[in-house]
Amino acid sequence: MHSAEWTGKFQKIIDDALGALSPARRATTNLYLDTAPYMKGSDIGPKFQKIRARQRSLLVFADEDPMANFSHPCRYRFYDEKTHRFLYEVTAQFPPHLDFVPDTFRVFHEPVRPIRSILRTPLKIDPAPPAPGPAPVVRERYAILFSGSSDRRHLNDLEYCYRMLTRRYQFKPGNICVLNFDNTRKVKDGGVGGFAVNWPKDNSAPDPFQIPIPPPPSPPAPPSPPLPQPLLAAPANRAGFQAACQALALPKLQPQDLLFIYTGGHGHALLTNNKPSDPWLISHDWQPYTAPQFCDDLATLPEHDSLLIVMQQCYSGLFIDPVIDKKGLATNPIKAKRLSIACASEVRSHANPDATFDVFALDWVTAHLDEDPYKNPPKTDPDTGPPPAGGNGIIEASEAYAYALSVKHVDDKPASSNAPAVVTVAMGATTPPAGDINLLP
Amino acid sequence: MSVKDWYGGNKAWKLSLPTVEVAPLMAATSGPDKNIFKLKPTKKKHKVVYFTVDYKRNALPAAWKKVKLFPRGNTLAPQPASALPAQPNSMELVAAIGAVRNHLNDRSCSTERLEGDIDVSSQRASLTLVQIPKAVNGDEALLCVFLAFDANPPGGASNPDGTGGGSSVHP
Repeated sequence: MHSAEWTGKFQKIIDDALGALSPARRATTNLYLDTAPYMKGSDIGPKFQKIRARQRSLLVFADEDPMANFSHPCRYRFYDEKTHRFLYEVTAQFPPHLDFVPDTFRVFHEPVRPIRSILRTPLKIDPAPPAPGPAPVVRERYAILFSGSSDRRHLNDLEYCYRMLTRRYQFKPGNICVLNFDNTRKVKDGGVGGFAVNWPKDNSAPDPFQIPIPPPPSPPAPPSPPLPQPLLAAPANRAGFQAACQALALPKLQPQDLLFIYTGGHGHALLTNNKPSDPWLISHDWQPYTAPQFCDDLATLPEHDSLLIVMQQCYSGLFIDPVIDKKGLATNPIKAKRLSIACASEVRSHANPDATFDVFALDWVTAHLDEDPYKNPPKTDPDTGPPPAGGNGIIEASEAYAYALSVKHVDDKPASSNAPAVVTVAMGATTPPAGDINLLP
Repeated sequence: MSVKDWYGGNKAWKLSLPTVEVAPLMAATSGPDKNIFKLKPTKKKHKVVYFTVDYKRNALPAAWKKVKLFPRGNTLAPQPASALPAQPNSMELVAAIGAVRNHLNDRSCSTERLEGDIDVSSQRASLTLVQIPKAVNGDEALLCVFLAFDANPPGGASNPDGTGGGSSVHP
């Protein structure tokens, strides 16, 4: 990510280098600019290439096969240091820097990115830059995070989501209801004494949980900063969710406010006429929390502006119709002006290969961040919605969903919906978009 | 309850709740004999060693033919929090089965049950049957069927629910 100042300073070079690529090439070639000038006669890349600068110039490196190991075809484009005018181009087989990459060498066009590799924590998340334009209305943002029958990955998903909300989007911890399992960090598949003590794995780099779920009483949890006080921490079942709705009731939730709901853990459904139907969330005590019950509980919330729901559990896609229908009811409807719901799958949902996260949740959250817990950036730029939404620095819910869809697990069947059906984001819009959690109060 | 409560006389069991996990173990079509089975004991020295599943032709999928169910445990699973009516609806059954499943979390070794293996859609699953006497309308037993799959099958990364469906019984 570059500053507008950096981009503006080298815009002529950037435009020329991009213009030299056909549309097809543009989608597969990464471009770098070295802003430290090369002296006349200095070697570019390894000496055996025998490529030297013919005059004092700036260099654009065009990598035509970024995922391949070197050597492979690439090009050096030389520009006049002062006028930024294109001078000439040389084909090469190696990048200009092999061992040490100086700070002056930056990528400015990167359609091809490596996929995630090994887990390297702790994850660092910076606050999002201020949204363009003034916030149209002062609004609060609230959240309910729910995972009923939690395995380790479900708790990890919840923590990742919590970090996105509180660090990236600066949600107040006191505005978040946390409903995980029996309100402990007990996990069904391992942990230390049955409890998760470090995120995302107990043997990964020290990174204490930040989500305010009481730490395990025994064995003692390792030292960690005191947990912030949530709006509510309770067991994950229908009673817990209803308590969260009560906690959000007036005077908390106001007509201009946003509510973000994440549900994970396990889900189940009946099979009717060979199709999954009648879905339910599995509570921590294995009691069903059905879609109609979920909708009825949402309908108890007071009027609010935006309701953004993300569901990870199996068969979560079957919640969409009941939720959308409930919003449209004449009596006892869900009282959100705008509703956006994205679900991992209409059938089973799946974990990533090492079962540390669920794929859809991992990717939906990653779309909002600079990098995932594996230290890899999103595989493509998620900020690509249709104009004017795309490229405005705001990751709207539909963009996060589109990204998660584009990199989904092969057996997941994601689904989403919006009500009203068409949601747009405009720069400097006077009303906030339905699925935008970026706008600060 | 004793192992004799699983078989004998006209005692038959019926699978009636088609959850997505258990549905592959049920007959796709309906009919008078569909999804009804009896348990046939195999004894050694007058003691039941295991049961096989006995049913009329096409009443259940063929996967049941090879199943051997071994009796385990010696304490009863809990009755549903609220008594089930004569014709419980799906979610009432799901809730009753969920209570048993929750009980098994901590007492899976001592609870009276039948255990075996079965192939579900080409995937091996462990099968657990738990009986709750007089749970339905005060006289019929409730049969809870639980399936468990490997958490992370090779090449899979599946996200199994580890839950089962249930069925009611006609003693």
